[in-house]
Amino acid sequence: MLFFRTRLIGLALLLCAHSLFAAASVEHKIKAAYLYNFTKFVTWPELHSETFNLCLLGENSFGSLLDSLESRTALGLPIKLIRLRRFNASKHCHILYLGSATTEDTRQLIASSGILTVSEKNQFAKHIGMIGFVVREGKIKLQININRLKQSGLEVSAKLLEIAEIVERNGDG
Amino acid sequence: MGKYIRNLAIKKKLLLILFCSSFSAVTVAGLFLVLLEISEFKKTTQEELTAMATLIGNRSTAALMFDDEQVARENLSVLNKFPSVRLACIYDVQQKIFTSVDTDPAKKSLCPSLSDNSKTNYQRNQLYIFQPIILEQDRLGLVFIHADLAAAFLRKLQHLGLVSVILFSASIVAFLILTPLLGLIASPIKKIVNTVQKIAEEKNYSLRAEKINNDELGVLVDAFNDMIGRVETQNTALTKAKDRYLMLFDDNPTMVFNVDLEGWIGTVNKFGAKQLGLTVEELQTCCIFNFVHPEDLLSIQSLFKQCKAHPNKVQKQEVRLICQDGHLIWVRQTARLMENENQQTNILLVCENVTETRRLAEKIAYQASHDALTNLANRSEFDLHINRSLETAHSDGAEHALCYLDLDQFKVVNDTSGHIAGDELLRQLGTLLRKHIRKEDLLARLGGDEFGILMHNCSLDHAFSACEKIRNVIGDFNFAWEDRCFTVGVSIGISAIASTSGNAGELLKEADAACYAAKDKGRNRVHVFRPDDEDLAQRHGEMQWVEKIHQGLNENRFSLYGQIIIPVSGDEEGLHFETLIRYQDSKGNIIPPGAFLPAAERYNQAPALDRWVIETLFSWMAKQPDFVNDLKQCSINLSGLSFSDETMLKFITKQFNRWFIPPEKVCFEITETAAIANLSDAATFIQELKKHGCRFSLDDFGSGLSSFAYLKSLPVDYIKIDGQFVKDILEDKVDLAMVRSINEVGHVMQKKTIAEFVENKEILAVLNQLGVDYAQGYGIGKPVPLVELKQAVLVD
Repeated sequence: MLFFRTRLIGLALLLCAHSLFAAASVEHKIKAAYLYNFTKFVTWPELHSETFNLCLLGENSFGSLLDSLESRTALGLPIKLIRLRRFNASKHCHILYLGSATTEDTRQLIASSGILTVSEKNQFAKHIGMIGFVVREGKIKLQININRLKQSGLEVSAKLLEIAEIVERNGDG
Repeated sequence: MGKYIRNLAIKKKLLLILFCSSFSAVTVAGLFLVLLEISEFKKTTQEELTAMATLIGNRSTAALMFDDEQVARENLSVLNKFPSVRLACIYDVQQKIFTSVDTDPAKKSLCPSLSDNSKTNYQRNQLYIFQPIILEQDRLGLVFIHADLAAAFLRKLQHLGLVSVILFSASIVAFLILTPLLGLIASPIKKIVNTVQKIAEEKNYSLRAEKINNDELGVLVDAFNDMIGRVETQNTALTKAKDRYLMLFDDNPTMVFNVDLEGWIGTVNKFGAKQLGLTVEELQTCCIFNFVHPEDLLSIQSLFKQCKAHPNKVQKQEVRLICQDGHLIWVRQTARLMENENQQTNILLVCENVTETRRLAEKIAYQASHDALTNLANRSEFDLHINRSLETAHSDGAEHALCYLDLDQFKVVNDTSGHIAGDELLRQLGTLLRKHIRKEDLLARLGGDEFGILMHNCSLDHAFSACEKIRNVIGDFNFAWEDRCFTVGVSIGISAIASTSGNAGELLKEADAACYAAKDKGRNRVHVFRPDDEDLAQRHGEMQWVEKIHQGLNENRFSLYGQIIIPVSGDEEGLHFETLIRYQDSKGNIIPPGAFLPAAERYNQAPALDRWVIETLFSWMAKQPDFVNDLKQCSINLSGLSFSDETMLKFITKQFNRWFIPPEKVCFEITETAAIANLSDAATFIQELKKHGCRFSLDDFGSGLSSFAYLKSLPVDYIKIDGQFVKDILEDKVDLAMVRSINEVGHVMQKKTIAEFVENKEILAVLNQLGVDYAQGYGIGKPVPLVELKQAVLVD
């Protein structure tokens, strides 16, 4: 467990100042870092906005962990955190993190193209979204639904696929 | 090393060049290849591995970012395919080890801790690659690869080794193919060299090199053959010239030496070496002085000095050389200073063997100074020693004695047993005398039976006693010859050699006179010369008679006397006399023959005197026809030497014919001893003249004590009884008996007898009783000049 902790601390340092995460749990720190990391392996079809919009839908446990991301850029664009209560298509979300409290209406929004949906919900990648955080052997792993990614016009790097569990494509996907 | 290569044969040099060039080419190429290969290999490997690291890094970005170590390790394990990779690690952004792959777990390699300046590097075949993982300018981590290239290098080298072996093999094959081609150059050169060597070894300049091609070597061969041809011609000429001169040198019948100034022999000719009994080579380590007789060493050394002092002068000398076998040779040396081929001063020594000449000269000198019969010193040698003694007498006042020895009765031996016996007696006496004189004394034979002794440093008294001893020794000596035994006596005259003495001739005359005096006193005695004897010596010295007789014949100093012979019976038979010779000296004294006849006999002047008598008598008688008419018989004495004179018979015959003298009126008297000594000569002589009608009488019969038997072989008409028996006939009965028996035997043999020394009428009366036919003597008539003969008869 000691090993795990140090590793997580290493990753957190990569993303932001240590002080920012002082109060947050290690798991969320890692997930926060992963959210940023996705920008490196996923290609969006077109970016018409002036900012890279990271939308947080619903309640989440990140707290202020993600705030520091706004000082950074992704795909050449400054990152903008957008917290949403409800899905709003006009907000041009590039990454949409679905919190635990999110409801079924998300199906619809998820179908809209060009948004990478991420969540830590169980079976998220398989049933609803594109990338889901799962814990395996004490480590946070990714589940990716490649069909949904492709359908939404996103391209994902093979490197990311390599480290992730590919969820079987469903007929509805 | 360089010298060794320079001395190699041309073919080997060519081979070496070929070998070196291919070897160096292969080596340089090989080295370049190795270096190039290695650096290329390094570069490639580094690039490959860097590319791999980049690729792995790239592939592992997601794994790093999403903390998936397994994927990262899978990515790394690709490197397992690379056999050289030992260890591969991935570090995260915090330079912590993210994952690692160890291809050789046994070695337990650990990923190194990183520092900021960790860069890709090589360390001893170990390649360390540090390749950062960068994603969109963000450094996510680092890939580390450690590759061990040693094995790869080894493989590379093995590969290169194989290539090298192939290269070298190719070179060797090329080398082997090219080697025979080298023969194109090397073999003609080798042939020339072989020819040159053969010429040098065999000194055979008739050999020629073989020309193979028309290239430069062909030209060389032509030029070489041309040159050798010239050498051959010149060599033949030179060899001939050398042989000629060598023969001239070696066979030169003189010994030719070339010696240095210390006498060491440099060169010697064969003849010289042969003379010394060594080979030329042996002599070349010898010193010429080693062969020189020790007594001649100083003179040859002075010869060398002379040569040095007078370089242009030829020096001559005679020395003795001792040959190897020890025999001695005399050589005449001619020496001159000369320079040899090395500009060293040497002496050229030419030695002519003059041993024979020398020996001959010595023999002649010996013969000149020695008597051949007795080997004693001769007269001239004796004179020489007398002169030397005289010199010491004059200078030091030394006193020496000169002895003159004359044998008595020697004539008897000579006459009765022959000259050979006489010679043998003289020889034995010489040996005997030599034993009885001192070493320092000189014994010489001066004439027929005369000896001389020169006693050095000897007073007259000592000389006298020494001579007495010698006289006794000779008197006691018995000479045996053919069953007969003779004794001889000696008369010795001594003269002193003192400071007052005159010359050698005078001294000899003095000794001779003393000897004569000794004879005169009755023989077999010693007489010392005293200056007051001088007159006697002047008259009687036999030595002087030799010259006097010679002069007398020329100056007509001789004259003829006659002594009447009468028949004892008193019958008248006509004039009968014996012809006698007299000498008239410068003072007018008439000298009887007893003084000079012995000298005439001894010095062979008797035949000359006989001839003079015959010719003078005949020529005188021819002018006196009356005298001849009255003449019954005239007798003439003949010396024994005249028998042996082959011209005497002719001379006598010629005189008879010349002067018309009736031979039957001439009677020749010969002495018994002379007749017996030359019995056959005498018999022939007598028979020859008897054919003409001449008469013969045997003089002094009885004195020789010889046998009557000889009378048989001597056809004489008269026997003259020795006066020694006749003169004492009155007192001595033995003499009487002797005369009687001689007379009787003579008559038996039908010979007339004549008695000598008839000094008175009493004797004549006895003779008459005995029946002796004729008598002669002072009692009948003294010798008178011929013209007075008719009045000389006392009897009647």
